[in-house]
Amino acid sequence: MRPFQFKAGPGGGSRHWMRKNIQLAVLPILALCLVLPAAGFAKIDLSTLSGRDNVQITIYKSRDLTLVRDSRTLQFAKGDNRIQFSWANTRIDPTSLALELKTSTDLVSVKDMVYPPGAKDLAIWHIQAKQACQAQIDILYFTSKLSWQSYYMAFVSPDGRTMDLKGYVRVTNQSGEDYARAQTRLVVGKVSLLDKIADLAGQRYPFGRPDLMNAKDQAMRAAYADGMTLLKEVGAVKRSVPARPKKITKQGMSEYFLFTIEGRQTIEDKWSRRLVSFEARDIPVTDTYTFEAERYGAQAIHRLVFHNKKEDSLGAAPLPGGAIKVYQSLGSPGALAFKGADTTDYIPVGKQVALNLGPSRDVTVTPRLMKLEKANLIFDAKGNITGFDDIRDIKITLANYSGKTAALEVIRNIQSPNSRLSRVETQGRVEQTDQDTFTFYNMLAPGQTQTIQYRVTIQYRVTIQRGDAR
Amino acid sequence: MKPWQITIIFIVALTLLASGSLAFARTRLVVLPARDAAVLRLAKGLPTLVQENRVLTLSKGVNPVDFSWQGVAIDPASIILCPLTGPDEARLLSVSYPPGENALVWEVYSSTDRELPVVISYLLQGIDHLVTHEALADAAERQMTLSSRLVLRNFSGENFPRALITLDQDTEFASLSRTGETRQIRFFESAGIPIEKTYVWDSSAMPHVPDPDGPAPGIPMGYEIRNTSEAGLGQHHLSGGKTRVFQQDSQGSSIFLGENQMDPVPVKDRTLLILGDSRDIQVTLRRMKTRKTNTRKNKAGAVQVYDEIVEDKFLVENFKSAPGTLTLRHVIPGQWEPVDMEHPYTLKAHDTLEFDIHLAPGEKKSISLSYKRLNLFTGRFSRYNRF
Repeated sequence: MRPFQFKAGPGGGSRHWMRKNIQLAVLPILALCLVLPAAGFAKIDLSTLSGRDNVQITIYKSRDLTLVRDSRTLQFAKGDNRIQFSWANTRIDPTSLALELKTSTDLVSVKDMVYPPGAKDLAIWHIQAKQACQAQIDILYFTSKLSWQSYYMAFVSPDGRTMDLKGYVRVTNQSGEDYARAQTRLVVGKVSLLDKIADLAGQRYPFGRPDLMNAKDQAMRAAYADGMTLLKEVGAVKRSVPARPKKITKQGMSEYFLFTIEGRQTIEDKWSRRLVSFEARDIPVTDTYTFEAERYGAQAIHRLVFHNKKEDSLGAAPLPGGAIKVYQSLGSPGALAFKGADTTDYIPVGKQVALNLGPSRDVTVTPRLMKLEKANLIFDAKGNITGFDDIRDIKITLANYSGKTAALEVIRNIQSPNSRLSRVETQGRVEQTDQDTFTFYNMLAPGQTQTIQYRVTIQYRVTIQRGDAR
Repeated sequence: MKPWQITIIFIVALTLLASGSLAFARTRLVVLPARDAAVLRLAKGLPTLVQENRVLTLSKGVNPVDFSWQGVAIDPASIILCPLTGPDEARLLSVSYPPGENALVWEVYSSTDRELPVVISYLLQGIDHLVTHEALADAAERQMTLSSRLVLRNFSGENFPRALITLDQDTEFASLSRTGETRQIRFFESAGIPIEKTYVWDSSAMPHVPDPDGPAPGIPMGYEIRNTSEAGLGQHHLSGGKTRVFQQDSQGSSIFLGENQMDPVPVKDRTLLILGDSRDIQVTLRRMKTRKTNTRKNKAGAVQVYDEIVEDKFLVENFKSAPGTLTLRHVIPGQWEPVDMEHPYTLKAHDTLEFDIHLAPGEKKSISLSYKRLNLFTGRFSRYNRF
């Protein structure tokens, strides 16, 4: 089946050529028989298809998955009708095809759906109509290779106390199908999928096939497929020019969040489209610094902290994960300094965000071992050593060379549950995070230096397992 | 090309030798009895049983009936001929298999000239079925409509223009099936099925402390349904199959929530369909303390057996604007006893505790557990500490 192309709008530039690989034909069986001797099916085509009413695409972020809802108004003849749907050169999952009757089901009912022998990328619904009538239907299917990404730009105020945050979404279509004037919806959330949609789309047989002997009746298949013709949708798609940026409305759905882009989008195959997701101003931010040698090495990490909550000019919706670039305004218009970049995960409403802007040169943390002592040596009856206490005095020097007050957290992993902290001296506070982790919290004024001192005692005993000295 | 690959050649012997041994006359009347109807009996994991109703025209005496097939795979040992009359009127005498052929010959005795309705049964390869389900939950996630579809995959080489399809003995409907095609038929639908939304956090599968710089682990979320008459089901067991779940939205449309493989659900049983992850409920588990007690040593002073008091602390946060109930599953390996459990739990197995945590919108809860792991061995028996 060859892709069908038509010119989609005035101007006639190459970008207006749109490919239509999805085709829909309605063939009343009685009418088909009557018209078969004639040269073509133009009459049937014209009388039975009223064109695509509406297309809605719902694109998922966590998976290569898009739910397409294609709405049509169809004319049915009394008796059996067949609707043929074909999707050559697209990424449609044939097992997901479904037909929903939107109007009264008393007159029209779906009997079954067949993937005919010998035909690829084609399905036929058998629909029974009690009388000739018009009915609205939705055809639903999954497709792959439509995707969207979110990303952000943050502009921190010159005094570093607030920031403006701009969120963007970019929709990319690699599906092989153009979606003209589609209502576009974006879903944030992790859905469970048993199979990749792209794999299902590439299957020779929609649901696979059982193991079998080599028996094929090509003539039968050809006869069955005979009499079907395809209706090719034609018509120009008007390219609307919005007078202002599109709005994106947000709605919580079960565990997911649905972003609906205002109006309709035409997303051609191989194209991307960027939209502003939201814009928030004057979000309170704080600079914090984290030191954890095991995770980040010898340097303190600079974090920019804010909350996704209404009191802080956010909180209308969760923030989808995405790359974020942070700039600082330098005061004069347009003067910016790049502070760093991070990639955020999904941020629920109410959650604190701590962007990792990388190692800081302005705030330093220097731990030093000041004293090492082995005490309380224990021996067994044979004189073998079976335990001792490891005593270490630690001094940590904190320095803030930035021009602002720095909130610093120093995480110390003792790496033994049999440990005890004593002789703690700090100008801040200390919390036991878990059995072998302590966190010191200190505030440093600009240019200030502080020290933290403590003693950690670890008991090592040969008690647990052979060779495991604890 | 014949539409059917399976043929019955009915050979009526015009004369029989008086000696009692069977022989055929040179002149034969060959009848091809039409297939009245076929029943396709589908059962999960088993070959498809085909049962055909045919009418044989028999003469008085012994009648050879030749059953042959080409281009289809029939298990010859599975073929059964069953006359639908009493044994005094007609009965099957013998079955013989010609060499090198996909065929067999029945000898059927008839007491008179008659038309004999028979059922021929055989196992046919290359035809099977799948069941898929589709569910549409309401916006409030309290009820759903469940529809089930049979996917009949016929690659057998045989056409069944009129077939009665029976599924697991309790569902049947008529359809046609042509070779090479896959046909999808909706055979069941029920609306208003109550659903219970469930979140499950399992300490044996989930990270205890989420990476502060990595993606937050989602908590598996799903719907539980019961196959009972009170739930609008309970008429028959629900077949296992891929289940895709959608939810109505406020735009008159729906979104896809997720899919899972539903195991067969017997009547009165329940099933949980995990559909995706919630990232608005987060769980952090921290081990706050482990302390050895009751140490038992050998003569050399080395500890051989000890107990261990463990303190675990769960921090559960609900970032949703709606309440939720989290099933928190915690695994404690080996022999243990509770010391101070801050929250009631259900013991699902000796090492598995389940806590039902009800969370208000935006609520944070901290739950501390203290328990003692008993008789932990050192040395060569330490591997038994987990069992």
